[in-house]
Amino acid sequence: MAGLFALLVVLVLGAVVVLVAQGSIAVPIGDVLRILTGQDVESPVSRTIVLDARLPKVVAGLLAGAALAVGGAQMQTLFRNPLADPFVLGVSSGAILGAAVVILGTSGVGWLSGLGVVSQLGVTGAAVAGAGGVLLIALGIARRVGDPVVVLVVGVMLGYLAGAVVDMLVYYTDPDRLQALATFTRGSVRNVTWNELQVVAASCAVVLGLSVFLAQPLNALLLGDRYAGSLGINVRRVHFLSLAGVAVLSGITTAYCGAIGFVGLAAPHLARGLLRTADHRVVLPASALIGAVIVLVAEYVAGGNGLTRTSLPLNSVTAFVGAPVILWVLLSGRARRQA
Amino acid sequence: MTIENPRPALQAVAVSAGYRRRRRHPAITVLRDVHLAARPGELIALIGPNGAGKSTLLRTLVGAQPPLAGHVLLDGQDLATLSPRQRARRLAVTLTEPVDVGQMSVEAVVALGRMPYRSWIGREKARDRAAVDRALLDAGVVDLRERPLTDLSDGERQRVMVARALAQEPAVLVLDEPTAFLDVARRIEFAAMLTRLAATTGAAIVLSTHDLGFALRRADQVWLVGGDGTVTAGAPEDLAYGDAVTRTFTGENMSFDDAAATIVVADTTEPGATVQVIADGRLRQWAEHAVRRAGWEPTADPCGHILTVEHGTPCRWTVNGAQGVGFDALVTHLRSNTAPLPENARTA
Repeated sequence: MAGLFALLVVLVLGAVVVLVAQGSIAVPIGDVLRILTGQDVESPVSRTIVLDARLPKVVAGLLAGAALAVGGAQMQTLFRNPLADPFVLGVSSGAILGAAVVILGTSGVGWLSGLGVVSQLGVTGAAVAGAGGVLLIALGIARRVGDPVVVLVVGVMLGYLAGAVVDMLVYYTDPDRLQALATFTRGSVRNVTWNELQVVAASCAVVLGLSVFLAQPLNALLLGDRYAGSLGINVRRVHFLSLAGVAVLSGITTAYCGAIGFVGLAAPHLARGLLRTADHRVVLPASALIGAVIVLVAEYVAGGNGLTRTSLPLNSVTAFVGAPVILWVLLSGRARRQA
Repeated sequence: MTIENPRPALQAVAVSAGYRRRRRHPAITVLRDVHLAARPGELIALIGPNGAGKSTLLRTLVGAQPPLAGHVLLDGQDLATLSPRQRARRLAVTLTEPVDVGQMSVEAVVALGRMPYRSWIGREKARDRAAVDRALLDAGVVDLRERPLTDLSDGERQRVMVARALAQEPAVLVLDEPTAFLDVARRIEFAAMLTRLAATTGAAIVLSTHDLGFALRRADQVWLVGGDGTVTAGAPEDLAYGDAVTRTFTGENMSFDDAAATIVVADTTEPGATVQVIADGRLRQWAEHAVRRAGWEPTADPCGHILTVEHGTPCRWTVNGAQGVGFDALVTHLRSNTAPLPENARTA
């Protein structure tokens, strides 16, 4: 198990280095390593490219992947549904709706980079609130219905509804501000700057760190709410803390990187499959690492490789990982058994 | 406090139990003024017809819902004053709901029972491991410890959930219909295990069951939830000999069979012709069973008809000169031959 973790860490670091080195201008990997470890290199241009242009997006991708994966792992346990994840259940759409209301509703021109820290927090807060709202509705329905597939459909519908509201907002808005939203719905880490990262990195790190404390209570929740209660767990408090964490993680991620789909769903399943356990003390950190790898690799394929001029939305790439996992879970019957 | 009558591990004092359909609606009282005491090491069966309030009582006793009146005492302390963690260290439950934990070994599931003793990020201490080992041993699932829970049979799963509860080192173990999904052999094994556990762990074990025979044969004490809002506690013999069990369980055309310790369909059929059964031991037992099933009356004394049964699987039988093999054929033969009776035998 320690070996697998070491392997995952190596994969993440490798992905970071490759992604920083490759691009429209290639930087030798030796230079990248030297710059990242704080040593001097001959070319100051390389230094600027690596530190200011590429590293922010790589760090953003890494954090987004980890955040979505940990959020997905928690949601799958909370919803008692192997198909739950922030994107599938419409939580990301809720975040977009929240952010869109603030972006399109306030004066000033759209995208976050143009905003000061205060308005950044406003948009981020709105995204978190939107994510939390959809989570609450989805969880309320999940507790009544129980059948994971029905909940899945409900989540997709909630996502459509939020999307429809965003579309209506767009229709009535000044075209100048729309550019901001375009990237939003498709997912991208390319527009993130160091300034923004301060908010993302800090909040993600805090919430990811706090989720360590939820690992044991989440293990108890695997037995069901009543069993968890009989083990002295305050089930309502764990639900609340976990949901709040998921809302923050997916809200912030969506606010800065747009909706990145399927990572939250696929990473926890891959983690459980690789490590052959459902223990959250292992699954949460492993999901974080796998989620980071998935987003970094997706970013590489989507356009970070410098080989192609086009750049794809991240979503179109992550779907290649996520959709097969959904199908595998559905067809292997786990979804049915949990109903 | 004497050895004969130690302090009850679980006690209900003047408890009224019920539920509210909605908030601020008046409560619906299901059970009134219930007094119960479970002493350490006792095996207690909670029985009663469907809808009488077994689940309500059980939920009240484990603190899943507050009593409408009165107190539930755990080791002498009011359940309502204990924190969830304190409660979890003294009271463990197994539920009827199915458990799907995904990929988790038996050992990991049992180790969840140590949660009331650990902090949220606390590591397993030697004491936790020892408790898990003992729980696995006591519940007879040591051999399964590495297996994933999903691979196990219903009976094995039930034992694992008991082991998980034992890992809590409870003074009171409450099992909600633990034998409901088990076949006869697993049920008997499970019952034997519970009897042993009550003796070795010193925990008071309370289980709800629909199996009247099991309750009367195995339990030290029976809590009988009548349909009328009362709970009668007593030794199985007291309840069976008195009319409490009969009154609660027998419906129309039913009676309580003392020998079998269970409810049977009352025999209201007109006795048919009598036949003398010649066979011995278990063969005689089942030959008479077949004769009764066919609507005849078996006897040991000579009468108009003679049935001889010889050992063998299937057995060979002779009735009034007719021969056949197996009880199925015998019943068919007897049923089709109710006509040629001795005179006046069926005038009624």
